[in-house]
Amino acid sequence: MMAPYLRLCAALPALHLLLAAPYCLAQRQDDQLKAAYILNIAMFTTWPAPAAPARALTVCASPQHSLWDSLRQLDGRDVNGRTWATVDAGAGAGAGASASASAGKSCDIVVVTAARAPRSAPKEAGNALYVVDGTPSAPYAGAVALVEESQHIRFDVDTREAARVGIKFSSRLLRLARNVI
Amino acid sequence: MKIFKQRRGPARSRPGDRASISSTVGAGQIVAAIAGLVIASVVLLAYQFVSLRNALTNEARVQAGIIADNVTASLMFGDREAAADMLRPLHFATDLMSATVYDSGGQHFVSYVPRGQAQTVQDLAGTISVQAPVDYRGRKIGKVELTMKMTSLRVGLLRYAVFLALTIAGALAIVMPIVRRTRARVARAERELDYLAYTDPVTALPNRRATYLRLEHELALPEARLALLLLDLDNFKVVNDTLGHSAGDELLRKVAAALRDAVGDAGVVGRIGGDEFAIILAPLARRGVALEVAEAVAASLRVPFPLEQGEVCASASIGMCVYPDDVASSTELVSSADTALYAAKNGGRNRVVDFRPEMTLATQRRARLERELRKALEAEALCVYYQPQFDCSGRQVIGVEALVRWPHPEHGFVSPAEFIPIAEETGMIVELGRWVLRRACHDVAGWLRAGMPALSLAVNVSARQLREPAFIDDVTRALADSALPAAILELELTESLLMENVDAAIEFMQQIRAAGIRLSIDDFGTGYSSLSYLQSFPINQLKIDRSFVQLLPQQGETIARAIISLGRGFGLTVLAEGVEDQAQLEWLRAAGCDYVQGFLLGKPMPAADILARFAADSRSSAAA
Repeated sequence: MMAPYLRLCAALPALHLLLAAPYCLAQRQDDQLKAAYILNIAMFTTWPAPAAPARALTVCASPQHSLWDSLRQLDGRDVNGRTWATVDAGAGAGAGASASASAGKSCDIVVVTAARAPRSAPKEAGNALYVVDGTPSAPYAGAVALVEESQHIRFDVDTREAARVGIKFSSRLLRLARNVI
Repeated sequence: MKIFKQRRGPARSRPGDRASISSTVGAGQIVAAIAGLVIASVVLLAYQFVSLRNALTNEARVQAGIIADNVTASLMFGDREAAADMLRPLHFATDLMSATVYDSGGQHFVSYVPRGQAQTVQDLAGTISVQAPVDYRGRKIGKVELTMKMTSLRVGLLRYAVFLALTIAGALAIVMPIVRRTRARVARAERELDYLAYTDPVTALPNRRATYLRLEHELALPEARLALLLLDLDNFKVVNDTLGHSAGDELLRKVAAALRDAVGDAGVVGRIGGDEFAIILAPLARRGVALEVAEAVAASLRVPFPLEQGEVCASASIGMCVYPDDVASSTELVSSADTALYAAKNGGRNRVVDFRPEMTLATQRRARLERELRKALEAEALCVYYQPQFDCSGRQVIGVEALVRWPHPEHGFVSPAEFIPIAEETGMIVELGRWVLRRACHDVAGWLRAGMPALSLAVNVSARQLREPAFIDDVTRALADSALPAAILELELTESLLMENVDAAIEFMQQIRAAGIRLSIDDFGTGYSSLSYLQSFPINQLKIDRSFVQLLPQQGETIARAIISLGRGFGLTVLAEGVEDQAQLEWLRAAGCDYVQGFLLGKPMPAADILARFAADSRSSAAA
């Protein structure tokens, strides 16, 4: 479910300049907060040790995603010794869910909107942490789903999905989750 | 405290306000013990406080650390609710006052204050604050601050203090009886030591030290007025020597009892020497009272004391001085009373003498004479006079008695009655006697060489000389040096001198006689000599004392006659001295006395005069 001001911003481009500026500002803060959430979640997440440890923590997202800019702003940030790097999930690959799924192999984190989330758990996700922004209409909600509740951003954690892709969450993170499956 | 409690017992304590050792030590011990316990308690409480505080601080640190760990994620996600949830279990922490989480910018994030907890100023004064950083993987995220109140610490401390106090009280309850017993024992020992230190063991009277302390004490009182009586038993030495020390001690005890009775409540009595007692009459209303007491004391001693060996008369000489009438200080008081005592002894004993300032002059004169006599002796400034002795016809000189004379450059001749006792007391008599003997032997030997017929030379010997082991050597050396025949020399001994130690005296006399020297007993009849000794004494002559001769011819005939017949019976010659008139000479001649000596026939004169007289006699006899 999208926040009302997000919808307003999308639906009324004409008014965007005149009226919706405060709303868009609020939207941007929301996105920044969500990006920060993802960063913090990454902090409490442990990936399996790769054969050749990569310095970069690759965060795959679509430039069309409203979080794209906010995620890009986090580039270069240190995450437990790795460097945050936002990459375009669609570059050099097919569009849509399959693109996201194939990208999963080289991504550490895949950020997708609920609408673009895969219908089911991607088979070749590698060790990618799927973060689904918004409550997905499809059954797959990733390992972490960012949701808005009472104008607060919360998150649900699916530990089975995390286990399936081989990542672990800190118990501290789990304590903050709205729902833990 | 009083020094003297004579009626019921001896001195128990010292004068003034000096505290006894046991009470001082006891009080000191208690103060020291209390001080020690207080210090120990304070130290223990301080230690306990520090321990409890450290424990509380450590507990707070642990809690803060746990909280910091728990709120890491909440702080990172800015989840205040979750953070508040993390803090909620702190309500189990009873000492917690508040817990606050700050973010990395130091801004308040969330805090927890237990219900009913209001931070007052007093609480803040007694709180402990600890901080713990909130960090995640080396990144500082914020900090946790915990404030602990010290209520339970104070309660714990109070509980500990009560426990400590009870323990101390218990310990004291156990120790106090022991301490009390020890103190009692110390006090008893102290009393005994006190008794020994301040009491004369023989008479149970205060000793010299206690007496003088008491005197100082009395003199220190405002407007003090007191009399000091110094008392010396006249014949204690004789009792001690003849009846033994136990009799002497018995006599001292009886005398002490008599003195206590005589003095009564008017004053205190102490024994300050062998046969010396001191009586302090204080406070003294008037001088007359002191004189009355002194006379009463003297009277009480004139009564014979029944001892185991028989009755003994113990008369005493008493010197009295009143402060501040006569003297201004304690030292003067004692020395003046002593001067008065000396005067009493010199005045014939068995009497009370009240101190008079002129006595001090006499004492000073005596001291000066002593100094000058010593110098005169060293400078041989003394001279020997000779008093001729005659046969009873009064014409024929048969001998001379050597008599020492002291021509003083300022005062003229000093009386032998004044300087001989000084020489006796100071011991100079030994040197003086030796010098007289040598001088006389030399003079008489000179006369012999000058052609004078052999005259006997009588020289007096004092008790002190007789006690000198080298005396016989001195005599023989004087004879040898002067080449005077021993038969010419006659040593005059007094009765009392011989009676001091009869065995030694007989041995000495035998040695003298063996050397060919003759012996005579001076002042015969004035002492206590037993007639039986006359038999064992190897003497040649008796001298009738001048006190008997001067009574003649009206009185004293019996004694004089008895001595003459006694001498005759023992085969001794008899010489009467102090013949001053013709009637006495006539009587003596009629009674059969052998020789006479006195002013009637010849005064003491220098050696040169004797020689001149001899020359005149020989001229007159030649002319005849």
